[in-house]
Amino acid sequence: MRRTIFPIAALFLLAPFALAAQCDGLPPKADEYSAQALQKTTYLSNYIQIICDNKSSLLKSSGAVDLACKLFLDEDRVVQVSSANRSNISEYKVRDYFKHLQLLGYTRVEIKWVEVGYVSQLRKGVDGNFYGVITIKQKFTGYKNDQPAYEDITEKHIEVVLKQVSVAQAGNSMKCWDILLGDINVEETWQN
Amino acid sequence: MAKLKFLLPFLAFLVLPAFFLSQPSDDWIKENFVVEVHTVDDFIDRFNGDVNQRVLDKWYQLFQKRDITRKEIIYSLFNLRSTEWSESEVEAFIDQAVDNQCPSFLEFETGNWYATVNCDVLFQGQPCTASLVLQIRQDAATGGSEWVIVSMLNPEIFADLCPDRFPYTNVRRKAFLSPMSHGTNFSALKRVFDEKVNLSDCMDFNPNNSLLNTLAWEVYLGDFQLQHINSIEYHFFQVPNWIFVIRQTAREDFNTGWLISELYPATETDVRNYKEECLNLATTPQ
Repeated sequence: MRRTIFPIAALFLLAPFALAAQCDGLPPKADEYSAQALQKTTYLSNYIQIICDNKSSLLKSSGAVDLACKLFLDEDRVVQVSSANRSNISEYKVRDYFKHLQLLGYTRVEIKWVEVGYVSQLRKGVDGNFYGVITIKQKFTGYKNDQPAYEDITEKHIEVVLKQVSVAQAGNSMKCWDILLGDINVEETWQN
Repeated sequence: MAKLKFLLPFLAFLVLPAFFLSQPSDDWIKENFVVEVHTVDDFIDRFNGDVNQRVLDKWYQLFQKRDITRKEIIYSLFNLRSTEWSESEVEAFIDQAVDNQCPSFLEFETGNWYATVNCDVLFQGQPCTASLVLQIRQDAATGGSEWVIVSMLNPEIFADLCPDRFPYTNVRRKAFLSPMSHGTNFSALKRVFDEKVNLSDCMDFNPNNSLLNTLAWEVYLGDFQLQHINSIEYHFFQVPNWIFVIRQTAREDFNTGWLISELYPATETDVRNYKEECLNLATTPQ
């Protein structure tokens, strides 16, 4: 059990180190923010692989759902899924989206990054947070009994939120920027 | 148009069926994806001549041309499959945008551009469509910005406009649409509609705008529910004497993404009429 929990915990525990360099009160520069935002989306993909894998124990899978939800600004963020082959658009709050993925019944999934398309500049919102959007293309393959049962290529538009948080360090309180995920729009562009 | 010959390969690629019947190769996906105009921000950057180095590299691979001019970049932002263009109008528009003496650039925060978001809604249990008109608004106090609903098309949905002012406007502000909401196709709109009482926080609430006042009431009373978003358009008035509309053109070729789909030469009166008739905005003569 310890062995199954460790990789998830390690993944999550590593995330705060990405913030260490940006505790000067200023929002990070575009290249820093994009690198860290892409790192968060990598964590998200890793969690999704655990969530979708029906060999994952219930505990591991539920733990991955909890950790994946913590990547987001809050659980009211939505994942909107549209398809090239279907006219309807599905919309899920993040936890519901992960639960929906859990029910897909794959023995294993692969999420492969194809390309990063665009990283927008950051814009300050009226709440004082900074907002950006990154666009990535990913290939998803779901296996059943080691045979590919489903493949798709999706374009994901991911809102990234930079929120200022207070971090206690050596008795001092420092203002740091945490990078969180906001709403996600998933456009399925190819499906097999 | 002869000066734009380098873009002819774009047209050649348009006739190539992108994904025959087999799985597209990763290389094809990458090439197509890199060149795509991904968001309206990307559109604005490119219009202003600020093109991502990876896109420039890809263009160089495709067209063997390194010094691509702003004129050529703007041309690439047109939906080249549309047959509705008058070439002379397109040339005149681009020439004005890149004019040496007085070039035109697009600005995200100036406000003189609008989004129309076409939605499926349920009004009093009946399915219908409605289009919301949104604009970027900057808050002088915080320096931050947000998208706000400034109008609504299809006012005929409401048989009567409500005369009583919606009382919960900005009482304790809770909701707002981030300035990057457009990047996820305004999926945040559904959330603020579901919050009902807070929707008016996301409106440019003018006591004289009885349409928005009625919308706020109907959403609050649960009679108006946003089901989902069908399509989005952006209307730009930032190039003097021109109006253009951009739409997402999703296809697997090299002229894809958010592209200019309509272009009109326009006097000040035309702009005013367009805002009144196509965006249902009350304008005052200048």
